[in-house]
Amino acid sequence: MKRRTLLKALSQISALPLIGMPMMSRAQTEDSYTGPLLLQVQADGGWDVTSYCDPKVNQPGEKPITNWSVTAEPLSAGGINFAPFANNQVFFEQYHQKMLVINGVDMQTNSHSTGVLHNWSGRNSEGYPALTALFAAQQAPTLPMPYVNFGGFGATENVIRYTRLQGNSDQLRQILEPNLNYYYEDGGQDEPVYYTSPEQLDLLNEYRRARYERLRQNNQLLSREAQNLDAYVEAFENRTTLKSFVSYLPASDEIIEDTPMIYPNMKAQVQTISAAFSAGISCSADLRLGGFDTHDDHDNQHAPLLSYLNESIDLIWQLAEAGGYADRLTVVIGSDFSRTPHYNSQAGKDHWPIGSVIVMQDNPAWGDRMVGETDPLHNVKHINPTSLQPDEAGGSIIYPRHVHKALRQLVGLNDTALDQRFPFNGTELFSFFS
Amino acid sequence: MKAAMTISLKSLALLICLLGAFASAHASFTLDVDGDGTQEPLTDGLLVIRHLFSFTDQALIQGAVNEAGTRNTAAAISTYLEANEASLDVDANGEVDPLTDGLMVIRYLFGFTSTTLTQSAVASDANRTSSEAIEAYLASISVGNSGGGGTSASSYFEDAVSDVILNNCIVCHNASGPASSTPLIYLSSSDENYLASNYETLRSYIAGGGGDTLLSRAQGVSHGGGAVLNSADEDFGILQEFVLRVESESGLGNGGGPGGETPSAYFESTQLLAARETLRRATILLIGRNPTPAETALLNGDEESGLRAALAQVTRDQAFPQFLTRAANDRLLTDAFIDGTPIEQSNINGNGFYPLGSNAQAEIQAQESEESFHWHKYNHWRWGLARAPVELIAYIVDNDRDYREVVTADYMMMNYAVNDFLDGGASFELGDPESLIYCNEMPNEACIDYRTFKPGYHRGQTVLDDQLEFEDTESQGRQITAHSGFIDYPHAGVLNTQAFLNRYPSTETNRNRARARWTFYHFLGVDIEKSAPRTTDPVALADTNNPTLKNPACTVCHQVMDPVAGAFAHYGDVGYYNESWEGLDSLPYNYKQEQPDPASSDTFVAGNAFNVENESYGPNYTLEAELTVGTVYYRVTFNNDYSDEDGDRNARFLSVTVTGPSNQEIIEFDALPEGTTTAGCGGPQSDGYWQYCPGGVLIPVSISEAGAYVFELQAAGQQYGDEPVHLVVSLDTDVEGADRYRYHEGDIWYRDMRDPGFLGLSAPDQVPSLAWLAEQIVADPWFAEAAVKFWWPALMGQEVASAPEVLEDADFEEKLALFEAQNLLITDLAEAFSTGINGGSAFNGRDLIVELMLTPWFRANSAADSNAPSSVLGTRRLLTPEELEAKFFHLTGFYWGNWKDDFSVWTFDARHTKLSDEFKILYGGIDSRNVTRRPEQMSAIMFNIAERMALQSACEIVARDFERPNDQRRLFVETEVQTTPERRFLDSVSVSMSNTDLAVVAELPATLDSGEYLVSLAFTNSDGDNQGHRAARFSQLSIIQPDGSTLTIELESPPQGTSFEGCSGQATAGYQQLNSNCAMNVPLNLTQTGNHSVTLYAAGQQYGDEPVQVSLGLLAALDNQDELRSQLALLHQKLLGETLSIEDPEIDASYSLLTETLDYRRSLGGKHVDQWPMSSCDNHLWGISPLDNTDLNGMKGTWVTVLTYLMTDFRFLHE
Repeated sequence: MKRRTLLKALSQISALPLIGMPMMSRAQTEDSYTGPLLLQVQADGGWDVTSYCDPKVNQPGEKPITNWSVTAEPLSAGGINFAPFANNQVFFEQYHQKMLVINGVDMQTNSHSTGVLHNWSGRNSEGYPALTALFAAQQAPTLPMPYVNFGGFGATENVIRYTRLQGNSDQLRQILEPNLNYYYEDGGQDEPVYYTSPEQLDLLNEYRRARYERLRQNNQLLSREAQNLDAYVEAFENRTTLKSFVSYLPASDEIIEDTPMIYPNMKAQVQTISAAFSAGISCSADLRLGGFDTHDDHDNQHAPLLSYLNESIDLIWQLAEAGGYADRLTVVIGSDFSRTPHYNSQAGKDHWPIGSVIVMQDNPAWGDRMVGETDPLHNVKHINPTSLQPDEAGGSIIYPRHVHKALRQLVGLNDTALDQRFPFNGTELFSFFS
Repeated sequence: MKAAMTISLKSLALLICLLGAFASAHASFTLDVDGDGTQEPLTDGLLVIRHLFSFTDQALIQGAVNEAGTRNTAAAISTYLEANEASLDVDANGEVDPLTDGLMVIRYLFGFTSTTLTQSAVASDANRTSSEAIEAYLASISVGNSGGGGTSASSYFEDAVSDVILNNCIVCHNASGPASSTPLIYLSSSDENYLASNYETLRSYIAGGGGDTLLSRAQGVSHGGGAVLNSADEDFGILQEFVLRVESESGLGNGGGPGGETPSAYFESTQLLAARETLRRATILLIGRNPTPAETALLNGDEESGLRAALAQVTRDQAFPQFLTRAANDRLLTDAFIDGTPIEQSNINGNGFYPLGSNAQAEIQAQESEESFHWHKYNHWRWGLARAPVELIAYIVDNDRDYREVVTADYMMMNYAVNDFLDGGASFELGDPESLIYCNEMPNEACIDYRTFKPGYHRGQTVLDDQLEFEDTESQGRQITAHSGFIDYPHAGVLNTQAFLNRYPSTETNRNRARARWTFYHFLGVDIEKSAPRTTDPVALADTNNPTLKNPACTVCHQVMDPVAGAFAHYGDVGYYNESWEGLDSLPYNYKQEQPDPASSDTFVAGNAFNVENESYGPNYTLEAELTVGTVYYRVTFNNDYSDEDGDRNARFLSVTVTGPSNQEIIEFDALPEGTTTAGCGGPQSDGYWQYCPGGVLIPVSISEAGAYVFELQAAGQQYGDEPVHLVVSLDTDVEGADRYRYHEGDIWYRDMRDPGFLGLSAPDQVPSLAWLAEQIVADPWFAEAAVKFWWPALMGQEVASAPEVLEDADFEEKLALFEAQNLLITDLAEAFSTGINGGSAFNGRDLIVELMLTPWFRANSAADSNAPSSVLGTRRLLTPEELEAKFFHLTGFYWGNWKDDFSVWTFDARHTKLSDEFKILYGGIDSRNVTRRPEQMSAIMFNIAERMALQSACEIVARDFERPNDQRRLFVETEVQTTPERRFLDSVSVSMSNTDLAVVAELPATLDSGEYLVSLAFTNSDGDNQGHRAARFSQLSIIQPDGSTLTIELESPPQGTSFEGCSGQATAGYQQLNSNCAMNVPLNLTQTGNHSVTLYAAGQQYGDEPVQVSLGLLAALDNQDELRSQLALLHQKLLGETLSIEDPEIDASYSLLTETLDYRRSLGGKHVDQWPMSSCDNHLWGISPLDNTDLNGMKGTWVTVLTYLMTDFRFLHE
């Protein structure tokens, strides 16, 4: 599908305007980050991959897995199968070349909190950070907002601090340059009015640094105070390029408005982080969309959510192209787990531990493929780590740790000190990305 | 005493030397080395240590042997000790060492215990690490015992371990207990052969490599029962010793379980905050202010009793409930309904459950003649419901009520709106319409503050039944004209508040399990989701045959969780009580109508499903089965009934033909045999049996001959739409069969779940199950522990540590030590809480909060040495936006961003501020729904927010504070704005001049020493426009000296050294005129000491109604570092909590900043704090009071910079 066709289709679905794209003339600062970028899209509550990227044909004598498959067959775009549900067709046809779909990932739980923990940290015990946290700590810990979290899973395990943001540019704009009071018009020009002079700010920073040095010299500090003190000084030292963010932030009337019954506003999150990536002040982020826990009226609730999710991912790539960083971006999309391959008495679907993960880059060599596999009733299969084919004897069930191990290699974290600090010992390396 | 009991390595060596240097294998080793029947340190102990130092012969035994003993020769003793050397490996590291094992033997024989026994004597690679385990081991090889070193694991189990199991484990680890699906199932002491059975159970588990897991589970690691034993417990030592013995006997390497630091030693290398600093930190965190002198006066040095009294006094502050509600919401997250989507139950538009509210709304709609308008009371009702849980908790704690009421209260907290709509019975006082601006909008309604909550009783809900009648009004509101009686709501504290039920809503498949999970979490301190490993078995996961009741992989959690879910049986998905039609239960319609799956029966024989598309009878729907002699029950059910005005779907049954090995029987449905039962609506018609709605027929069939049978059903379907009629036929040998799990008339709970109950107890039918559950919860020791955990995060700034889960993690030991240390405190504090802390009443929440602040976890402030625990503890945690806002408010008197002190009708707390609203999430706050966890460290964005707050408000804080009389100031009480490093302010007088004739306008008496002074004459209100302007004319100063003489200074020609600040004077013939806000400083050289009087002759040039404002000030030309440093020290103390002398290096630094800034401002030459385009003086009270931003000597601006520095300091933002 051509881009224009996609956009038309998207606009028909959500009246999504192509707004909020940073102007290409906005110059990045000298200190802006130009390395690889990582986005995790967290579909909270447990998405139904049989209505998405692991479509199933209903089996004779079994309860219907999905209602759509009563009258329709799974579709495919390139090497990827998908369910003819929501606006999947538009989405997958547009983006199949950018994506690798890993099906049959066993989250080993039906519990939301454990599923979230497992999927996003790589293990179902606490103590490991999010991949995005590790990535930021490795790539660019001194950026003003190296790691941004919009409210989803964001364990850091002290390898880095996260910056909590919302998709609200007006609030952000106020504080990116805290000394700026307002602008007044003078001869057709906007002139700034400040709270204090640059000389005074410089003097304050000089005294703050000296104060930090004196406090830090105390060798009796307990670790909490020491860590918080370090975080504090890094916060004010690393903020110098924050104000460059202002020119990339969409104006308040450019922020895509909330969609009824969908929370939180993921598109606004996308706009905000895109501005941060464009400004070169961030290198990783977790986006979050809730509502996928559809225990009743599943189809009617899930369809708009998946459509919205697809639109949000589309927006990620649109803005990445416009921002000139698409070739540096990796996007990981996943959820707590999936939903039962049958409906309950309320037309809902309950928890099912076998899920999927989608990884996207800008037309990678490993793209346009589906790996991993589930059986016709959406049960897990053993997969050979090398051939990626079903192999009951020599294969392994794909667990999140396998996905994380491969992802760490993909984004350049393997064999780093951080990788070794949070190891996946005894875990096969699946050749997902080769 | 402790020191005297210490045996160091040094003294040991001395002991060995002084006593000189000069020993048969034994089947059962004891420490009675010389065989005299006793064990003594200076004989047996010394012999052990000498032997381990390789002493032999006389050097081994000299002066250390009881000649009367059975082993009194060096050879005998050497032989005995060599033969039993393995038993001397006290710390179980695989080696026998004199300075570890030997030292501990002799210390033990001297009577040392605990850390005095083990300090610096346990090898780094030891597997027996805790003093308890080592004591237990040494006791086992002591005289009187059977000889531990040689004692078998079996004997040791009988002697010691069995009691540990019976006392700690068997309550869950029994055949029907919560841990029945684990490998460790024990028999009770009343069971036959329980000792042998329990021994073998535990032994085989350990021999199978589970020793480490056993010990870590006992400590709480991945253990459904939480931490049962602490490594400091004697019982843990026994268990650890047993593991070592079994592993040894099994040929396994000694594991001994995780070691780590013992909890009692956790704070040995830390120093605590002094009482005064603890009080300050607590007061800031609880209510945002510094302690009052009265509170501080309750301190008695560093005595704990004084600190406790002072802390308790702080909790009497009227702001304390705000801490309580905030802390409670951080756990319950019910404030999600305050700003976001409201509680579903709060929709009262024609709501049959709440007729009082619905009719009130319809009435107001009629009054307003429109359906949609902003009715404040509706907002107040929504907020009132949302806040009920946290207000209840705050009410209980703040009024010293029994904390157990948190779940057992037979009332709920209501504001006036909730009270009105739920007929709560509480009474509220009328408020002031001037301060409650919403009252002015609807003057016909009672003006009551919606933020006031009182206990009331929910008597406002009815049930939906035939008595419910509606009438739509012209204004579109729906009036409820008739309904059945109001429910006597069975309150159970927080548990059945609408907000709690709605925050954790249910579904037909969730069945209150989320409510159960969070009940366990909040009120029993147990996170069920973390407590047990979940199945990874695909077969178990795919199990649809009621796995939560039957599949062991699932029951491990569900047998604990589901009975509690059942206790919520009466509450529907969003929390209405008995929400089903007729109000008898809250079971969903689908469940009630659903036909059971025959295969779910344990006695299921065979089944088949058919689609019946024909409307006339036939063909035969067959079911084949091998049957034995007896009765079998043939069932046919119709499951997909549907109808509308266009048609109806029904099923019809004519006959079933039963063909056996040698006979055939035809059962006609119009003459069903005795014992047949039917379900759902249906009955015989002229042409067979018609089934109109979901249900079916169950027919007993007598089988007299075993063999293969065929059942052939003649059925027809009355079609509707495209979907055929679905029929299911089955055979079961039990008449109940699958009906066992089907809804029966009168049920209130699902039959395919466990009965309502709690930890093995069933809820009685006669009492409300949730109130019964609450009573069980508060009777459980976990409730008190949960209370400690509930308040912990708000005070400590962190969640209670959870047990680490992965033994291989590099920081496992550290995390386990942290967990154990916290758990020990929590257990002890919970015990005290449940009986009364320090002699107080049992379950007093205030006492608990105070006691938490007395613990090292709140007070650990610095490391005494480098061995301080490396885990995250200590002071200086990041303040939350709410805490920072409270601190800011108490220091300044206003809220950042709350302009003009507006009452916001759109926010629950009635004020819109930067920190609590606009930047709340960005500064680390929570919205209780999407963002529920607070960050613990600062980000660049957060620093910018803090800096903006300081930059935007420091000017106003400084200017406003200097406007106040000195004794009413909040910050600047040690100095005056006129004081500079070179001039000390002495006194001043301000006057208004409306006359234009020169006259005496001000007199200033002062007692002065001889010396150099300045008289400062300032003009402060020079406003004007093109119609005119205001000016001040200063003519003469007249100084009456102590001897009566007068010193006169003509100001039109002032003496040399006179200076102007902010302007230049305009000298005329008779006076000096100042045309703009500025000051002239006139030098004054006094030669006498004593009482002086300074008189000012002046006049004003009027403009408008406001007279000319001038001030006459007297300053001494002195070095004023000390005064300014004192002021700086005060600011450091008030803002940062630092108590510093004025010579402290930090004060040096701040003073240096002050002087550098003053020099800079003087270089600018301005006369206002805000100097264009640096406009830094906002005024939050702009509509109420103007702000004096004149700054003639630069000191206001200087203090602004100093305050900005301090308000962005680490210690301002972290407490």
